[in-house]
Amino acid sequence: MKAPLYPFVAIVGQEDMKLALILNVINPRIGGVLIRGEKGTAKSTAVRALAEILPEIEVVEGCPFQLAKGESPLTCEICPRIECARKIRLGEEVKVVKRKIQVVELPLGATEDRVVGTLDLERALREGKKELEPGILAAAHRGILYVDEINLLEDHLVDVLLDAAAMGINVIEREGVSFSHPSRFVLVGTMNPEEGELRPQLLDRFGLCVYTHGIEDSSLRVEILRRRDDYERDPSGFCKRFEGESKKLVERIERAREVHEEIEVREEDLYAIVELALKVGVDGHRADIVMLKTAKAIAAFEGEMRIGPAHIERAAGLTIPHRMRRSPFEEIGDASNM
Amino acid sequence: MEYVSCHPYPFPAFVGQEDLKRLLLITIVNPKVGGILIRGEKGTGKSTLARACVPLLPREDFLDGCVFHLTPEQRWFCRYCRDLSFIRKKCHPETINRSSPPFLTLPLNVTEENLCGGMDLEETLSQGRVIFGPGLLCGANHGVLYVDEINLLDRHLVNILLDVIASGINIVEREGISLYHPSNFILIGSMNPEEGELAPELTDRFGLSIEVKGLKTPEERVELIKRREEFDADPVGFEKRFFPSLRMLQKRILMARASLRNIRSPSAIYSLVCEICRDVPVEGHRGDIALLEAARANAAIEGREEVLEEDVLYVAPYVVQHRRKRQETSPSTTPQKKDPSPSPEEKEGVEGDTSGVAKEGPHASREEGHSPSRESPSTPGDRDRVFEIGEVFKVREFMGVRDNMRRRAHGKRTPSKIRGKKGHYMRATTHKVIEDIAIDATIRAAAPYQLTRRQGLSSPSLKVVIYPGDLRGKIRKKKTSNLILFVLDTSGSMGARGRMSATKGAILSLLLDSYQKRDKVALITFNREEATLILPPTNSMDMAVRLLKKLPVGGRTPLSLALSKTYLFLQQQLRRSPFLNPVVLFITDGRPNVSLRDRPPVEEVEDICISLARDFPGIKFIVIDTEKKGPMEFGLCNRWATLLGAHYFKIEDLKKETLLNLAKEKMI
Repeated sequence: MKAPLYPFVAIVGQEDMKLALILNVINPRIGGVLIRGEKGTAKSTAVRALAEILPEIEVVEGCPFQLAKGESPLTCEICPRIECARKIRLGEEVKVVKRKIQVVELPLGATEDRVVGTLDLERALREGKKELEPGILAAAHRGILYVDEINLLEDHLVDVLLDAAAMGINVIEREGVSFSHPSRFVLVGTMNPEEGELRPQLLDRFGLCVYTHGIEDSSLRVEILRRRDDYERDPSGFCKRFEGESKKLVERIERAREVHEEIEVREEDLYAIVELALKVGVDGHRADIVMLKTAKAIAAFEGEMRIGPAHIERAAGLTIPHRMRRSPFEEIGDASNM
Repeated sequence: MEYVSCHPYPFPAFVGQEDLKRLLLITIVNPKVGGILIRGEKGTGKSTLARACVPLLPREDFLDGCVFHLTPEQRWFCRYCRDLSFIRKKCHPETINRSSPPFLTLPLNVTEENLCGGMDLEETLSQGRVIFGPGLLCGANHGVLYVDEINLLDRHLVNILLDVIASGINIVEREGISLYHPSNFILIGSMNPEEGELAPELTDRFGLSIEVKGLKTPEERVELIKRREEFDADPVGFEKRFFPSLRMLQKRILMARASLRNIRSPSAIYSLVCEICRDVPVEGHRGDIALLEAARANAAIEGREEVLEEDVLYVAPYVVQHRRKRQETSPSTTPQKKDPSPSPEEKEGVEGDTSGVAKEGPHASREEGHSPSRESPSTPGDRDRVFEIGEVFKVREFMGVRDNMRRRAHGKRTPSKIRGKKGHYMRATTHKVIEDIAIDATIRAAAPYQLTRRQGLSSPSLKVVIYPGDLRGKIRKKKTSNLILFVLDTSGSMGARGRMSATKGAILSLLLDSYQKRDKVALITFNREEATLILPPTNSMDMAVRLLKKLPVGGRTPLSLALSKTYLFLQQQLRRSPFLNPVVLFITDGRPNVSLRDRPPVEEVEDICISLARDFPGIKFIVIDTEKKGPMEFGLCNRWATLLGAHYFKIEDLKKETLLNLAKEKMI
């Protein structure tokens, strides 16, 4: 048995990061979060710990594409899983199971065929069939795709991510296999900006962006140290200590997930959002759309039924900074005006 | 080959972007226009709108069961097809099926055989002879082929696409298959220019191109996010709401298509089209044809029977702008804010006076008034001064010829084949199969012989028996990044006559270019008695730009010191990663006045140049001379460039227009 993960609620500070992750759990359409920050600021710990507080979803049992029942009949038609296809053809019920949303990690060294999916070697040799062996993008559907040090990800893999993230569909046209399946995931990336920047196109795909810093306050630093120490000495005991708090958080998230669609938005809130986006000059419309969703999720998380200026302000802080036009040109443009 | 679609956003529900919507309609109504390229910043709905076209495509007739997805007009091909042994005939060309035309997405990581078509594994295995399996180019016949982020598409795929678009025919010569088939499709591409430009040859193939911008009025933006929320909350209901308007649109397209043949174009229209294309001027005649066809389609959509002048004028900017002869202006100007397209002479002239004033680029410094005074000629002093960054321009390709060296780095500038299991799988080969086996190609190679091979086995547990001769390896491609080392003169003399501003502008242009190609950049500066590596190799452009902005100028010129520093730096970098492909740019006005030891500085410089060239034969050196032309010109840089075996440029020459001419003279 593996040791329990460090609990999400036990992470000291880094409120922005925690909030951003939670908001994505509440509404996956927010579109992921990019966590920028120095080494050792609990970035990876938080993402991994997130798995523990994720809610459950209904999935067709054994479905390699994590589909809900009837989600994508076209995929089922061409799916390599014969049992399922037969059941559907015969009109039999497919079994649906409940399981937690998964965190799927995309390692930097992954090859392209493992990410998109590739020809199933075994079936090709044994049965002479060209079938797809689903890749990471299939596993990540309806879940969280986590890329550590995403700025170091190879270019051709970034292209693949962009393609899938843009459409919500992974189109495979390789090695003689033609296939497509839904692939909508919450993209969570971490990076240390000192090691290089992200491509703007990819940066924009992240709904939210947060910065983590080392904590200056010495009493908090001591607390971090102490908790880490306690956890390492007795992981399960430590987790038990935070069980109550964890449970409370899970319940809060569940509630927010139920109500976030119904949060009331007034006309003036919409104008506030749009004018904010226009004022700072963002590219495109993704900022507006995400800001609204984020504000609603924040309101839902705080147990309120309508969004207010405070929610919008908080949402703006998470959605706008990485979208401001800040290409090398622009920065100089500002400088020359000074 | 249908793809899953998760409720596309309905076309009529789009807020704004009226021009783009109209152009898409034109493209659909008249395939002869030649497709559309949608350029624009991220998050402006380029790809959403392109995909929303699916339900707009009017249903068409296709031959029943045809592998090549032919229409009745293409029946002539059946006679050729009948004799092909590679086709397993399941077709009934007499029967006609009416169905929606295909809308296929070309993923960036498509492999060659999936694009062009190749051997169909399953069929080949069961038939015991090679059977053709159609690729995307087959399936897209009489439909739409959509490429998102088309500027990132691999070069060799682009070439294939170009060939097919030009001829309307796809020729397959691979894996024992030899055939051709008609392939006509509407190409829709979308791209974000921030990620680099599209190859000019491909740009030219698109009939129309449009620059998309985000909406500017709050009302529109509010409407947009409202609709988006509604759509996300209830896609089905949302679709229903817009269904009537979608129906209307479909009808309109159908009628326009039907009437297209009967649209009259008076001779005045022909002359107008030709005049426009001549005056712009447009390269070649493809523009004329596209313009006429687009104007026709527009008239048809408007429900007219005759092309009017306004039709031509409406579509003209979108036909013409990306075909402008490139000497005139960069290919990416928008029709909305057309470049005044100054002639090369004018440009030269302006720079002669105030090199530091920006004319293009989004930051266009409007402070022409005081720029000249800050950059007025001054004697090289010891005081440090900081200069603004001068004009930023597009840099002509100056490196990146593919070589056959195998590398392990990654980036975008120099395409090179690589060893190791990384990179994009391009195609299979019979050579070098030791470590990276192309399973698909191997099995396909073995497939035709399986019937006989399996007979030889006592208990065939495997369907496919592979002999060593079937093995195929993968050729992978990845672009290696270059390390670009700038060695920048920051001595006092560089401050004179706006040299530093112009230089900063040039470096920034190169930096941007480097960014788009994912190069790493390092910067060594030298003045007084020092040469310092102020920017260690990084691909963080932010950092480079910040440094560049603050970079002061002043003091003497220890060029020989800088050169020896460069020598050491290269040595160290190559030791660490022998596959690195560094490019070194020296930017100086060529007036060294500090020596390392006790010899005259110029002699020292020459010596070090010789040893640099001798010890780093594979490295590209480039000397950018910032010295102004004139009677006071020393011309030393040119001499050193020869010693280094370097390309030599005057700083004025770095601009794309002039460099294009240089390239034509085979100087690069």
